[in-house]
Amino acid sequence: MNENGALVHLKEVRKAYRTPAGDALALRGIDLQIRQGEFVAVVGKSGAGKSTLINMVTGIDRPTSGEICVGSNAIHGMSEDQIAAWRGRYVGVILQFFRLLPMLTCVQNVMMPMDFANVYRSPRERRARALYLLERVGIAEHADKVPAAVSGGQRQRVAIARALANDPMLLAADEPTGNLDSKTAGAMFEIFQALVDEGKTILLVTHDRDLAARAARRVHIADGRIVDRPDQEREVRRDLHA
Amino acid sequence: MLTTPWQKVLIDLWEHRVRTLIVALAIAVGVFAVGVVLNTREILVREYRRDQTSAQVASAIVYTAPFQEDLADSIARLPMVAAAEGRTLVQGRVYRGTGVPQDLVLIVVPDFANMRVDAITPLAGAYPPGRGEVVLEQRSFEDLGTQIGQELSVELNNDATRTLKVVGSIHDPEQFAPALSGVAVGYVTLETLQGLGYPETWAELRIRVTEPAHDERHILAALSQVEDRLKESGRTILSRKVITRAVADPFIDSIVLILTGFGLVILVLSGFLVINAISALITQQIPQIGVMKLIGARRWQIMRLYLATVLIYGLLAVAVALPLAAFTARLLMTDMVEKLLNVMPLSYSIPVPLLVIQVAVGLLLPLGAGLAPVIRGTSVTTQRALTDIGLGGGVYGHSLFERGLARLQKALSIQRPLLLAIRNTLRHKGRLAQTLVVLIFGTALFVSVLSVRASVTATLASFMRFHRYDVSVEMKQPELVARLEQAAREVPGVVDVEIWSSGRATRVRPDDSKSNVFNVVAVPAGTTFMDPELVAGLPLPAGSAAAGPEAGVARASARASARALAPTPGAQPNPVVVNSDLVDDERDLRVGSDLVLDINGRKATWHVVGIVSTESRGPAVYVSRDDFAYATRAPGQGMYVQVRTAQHDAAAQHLLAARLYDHFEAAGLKVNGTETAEVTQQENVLLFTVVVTFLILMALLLAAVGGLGLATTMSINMMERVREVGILRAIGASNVSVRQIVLAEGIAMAVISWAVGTALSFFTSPIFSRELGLALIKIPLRYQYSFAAAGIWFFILLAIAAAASLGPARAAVRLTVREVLAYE
Repeated sequence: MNENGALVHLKEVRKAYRTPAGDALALRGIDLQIRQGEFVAVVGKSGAGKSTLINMVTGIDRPTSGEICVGSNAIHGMSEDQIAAWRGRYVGVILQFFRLLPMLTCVQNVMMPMDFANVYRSPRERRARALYLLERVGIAEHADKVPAAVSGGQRQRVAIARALANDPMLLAADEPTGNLDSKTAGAMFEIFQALVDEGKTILLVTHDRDLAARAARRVHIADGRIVDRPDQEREVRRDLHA
Repeated sequence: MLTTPWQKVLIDLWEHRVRTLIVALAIAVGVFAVGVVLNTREILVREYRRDQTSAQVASAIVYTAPFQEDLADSIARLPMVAAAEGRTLVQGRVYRGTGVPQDLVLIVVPDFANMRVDAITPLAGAYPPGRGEVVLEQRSFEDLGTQIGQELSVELNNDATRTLKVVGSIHDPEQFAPALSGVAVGYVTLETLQGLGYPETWAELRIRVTEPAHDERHILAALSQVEDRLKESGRTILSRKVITRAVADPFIDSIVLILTGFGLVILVLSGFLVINAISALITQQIPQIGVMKLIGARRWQIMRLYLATVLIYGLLAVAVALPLAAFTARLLMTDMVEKLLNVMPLSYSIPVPLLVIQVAVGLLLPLGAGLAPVIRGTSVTTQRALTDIGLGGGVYGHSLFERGLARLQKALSIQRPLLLAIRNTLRHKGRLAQTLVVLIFGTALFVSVLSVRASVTATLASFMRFHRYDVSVEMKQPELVARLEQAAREVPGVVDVEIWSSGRATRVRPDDSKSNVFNVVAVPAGTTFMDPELVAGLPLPAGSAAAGPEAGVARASARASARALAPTPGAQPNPVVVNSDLVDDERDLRVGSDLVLDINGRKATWHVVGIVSTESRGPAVYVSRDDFAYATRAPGQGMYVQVRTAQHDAAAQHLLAARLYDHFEAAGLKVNGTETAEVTQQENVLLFTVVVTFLILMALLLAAVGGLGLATTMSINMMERVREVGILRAIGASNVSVRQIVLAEGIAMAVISWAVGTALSFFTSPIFSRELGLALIKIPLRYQYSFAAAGIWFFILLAIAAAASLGPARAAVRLTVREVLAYE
């Protein structure tokens, strides 16, 4: 927790990408705070900057300027290596395309973050926890199967279990239901809700407004800026092109 | 229990077995090359040196008037002489069951039990031989068609035919196998010599000087003492031979040179290959590296996984290459070196330090080659790694090449898929460069090695220019030329005849020192039976021969007369043509030099008019037969009957040789021996066989490295472009189109590397040919470029490119579009 009580604090965060046509601003001075136990959905159209925002919070990408604090860590000043270690221990990341290692079984995929962070010291303990997590997401019976042998929805459940491996303080999910049908997407959301009920903090990026509506709080982002309401997008665009 | 990251390493190795095999093979080739080089060199040099040391090889051979053993004992007591023994050599021949005679030399030894010079080692059977018995050199049994316990009927050069019982076999490291030398060798006692009808005296004195036993200056100083002692006994040195190198030294040195040079090159190329393979492996693993970083892996944690993977590749390579190298080294020794060069190893053991070196190469080579790619691959950011979908990055169309390619596409209407293949080839410039380096050097060296082989063939052909006849009959004593010629022409099948003579001579230098003994070949004026390459000066002039009865012999083809030792008016008295071997030994000799020769104790001054190439039989001079007859006071006589037949195959030559022998004997003309051109050629071929075999082994290794390099790159290229294939198919590319693109890419690489490598081989081939020739026969080989090798290699590369591309391409087109687009 940082000094103002927020778990995640972004201050004047900007992100610019170099292109042959010049710098493209993906984030234009984002200020955002997320408290512990919140379930926050970041919504916006394609190209609005949602994924860039979540990448800033998880340390996957680095801001061009601004400050990012997660817990008591100012991650904007960390090296790539430090961030990786920090992320493994304190942030669970769930991505749209699952990103499981194809040669490992589901339970091995869940155990891997524990092995890198060296938590739950004995391998037996790690396996037990991995099986517990798979049970929690409802696919314990597929523990010893490789990802190619299970469905997309089941793979996403494994990814969720993996994200929970080291009991992180923050779960960050970038379009976790983007590759799933609506029924499966709904089931995913139930899992997220259950985690929130247990006190987890979840930051979710989605373009699906219906799903976003089920989150406790929605943050609308348009053209790299946080807007208060969706209908403010048009104003933002007009301002930008004026 | 292994943690999951280490389990991933092992699973990855197993699941991608083909890739594992390719990378391990790439490393194994380098380890194998190093292993073969080190092992063969170690065993060869160690056992050869041990063999030579145990033989206590003579430092010099002195020829003087027949003497008894007490003279040798007296010489042995000189301060600079470590040992001195007498020897006598008796020439003979043995008729085998096949009817083809085998020349035999019987070496008479004073004391078999206490040989201190040119010692032999008993191997089997009885030792020493008794009266009427002979022990044979181990390599002579097969050529004589005999075994221990059998009797050998030997026709001696004193016209006697005697039977000797073969009682044992020995090893004499100073004797090559008969296949190489043309002569079988046996050893008898002085008592047996007397029984064969020869006097019990020694004809040559073998001397081993004190250390350094093969230093020329030291030997000459010792010989000076020997000469003084001989003078005291009323004798002089008729001729002598200074031995600074063992007979097999040039071969051993050449083999070591080839092994070391090529072994190093193959190791370096293998290193490039390994860098390429591991770079491609890491590139393919980028998305997984991204995932590991996503879930908390630090860079050092990921690095150690991949370095461990590389180490496992190395262990697999060592497990294969180490025993294979040991086996190959032993095979090279037993099948080649031992049989032809007559080296007798007592042990094929490889010292532990050499094994350690090979293991170290197998582990350090991949680690060294893989370190940079691993560092580079693991330094990629998480974001970049997660967004890498195998389609490459960057902007197309800006570089000079890409703009050129676009213009070319318009000009030649090249289809876009083909253009894509060409561009793909250049996408990973670093990997392409590494692949091309391996292929280019592999190509250049492969073609160079086979060009050396072609040069060897051309050189052997030049040797045979000294023997433009089918059969040579050697007489036991000089006979009248006219009588020999008439007898020869009476034999059916004889088309043409020349009578030659020969002798042994030494050069008396301006400071009155004497050279080693060398051959004198006396030929009729205008001979057409020999047309060696003139290095400098002119061929022999006719001199007085033009007016003699032999003038009718000077019939030559228009081509031959241009090169033959043809008559030239205005010749100087006693013209002589020397060969390049003699010029190498007597460095002051030039065209125009005066050369004082001592032939059979008679000195005369000769005038050098020309220098010819060598036929690798050592120093020699060529003179007119008439001039030689005058110098030796044996006018109108000859020793060799050189004969041409209508048919030149081996069977016809052997048949004619037998007919000539029988006819001459029936006419009362005593024949010492016959030799066919085919046998002469075979001996020359075998001279190079050992070295050429090693060259071909290196060429095959180079081919393996080059081919593996291309296969590695193509296979791994395909593995990382599965998604690209999916996109192509999603936009309508047929399977055939996909295969064509992939194939075109592989062929592009093969063609580029072949073209550059072949161009490079035009520079490397003459260098290799020259150096090998200098190392082996002290002259550069007669250079010949092997276009056939370039052609063969072109098709090999194309075949490998096709095989390496189409296999993975076939696997990729079998996947559905959905599967390849979701490929991870």
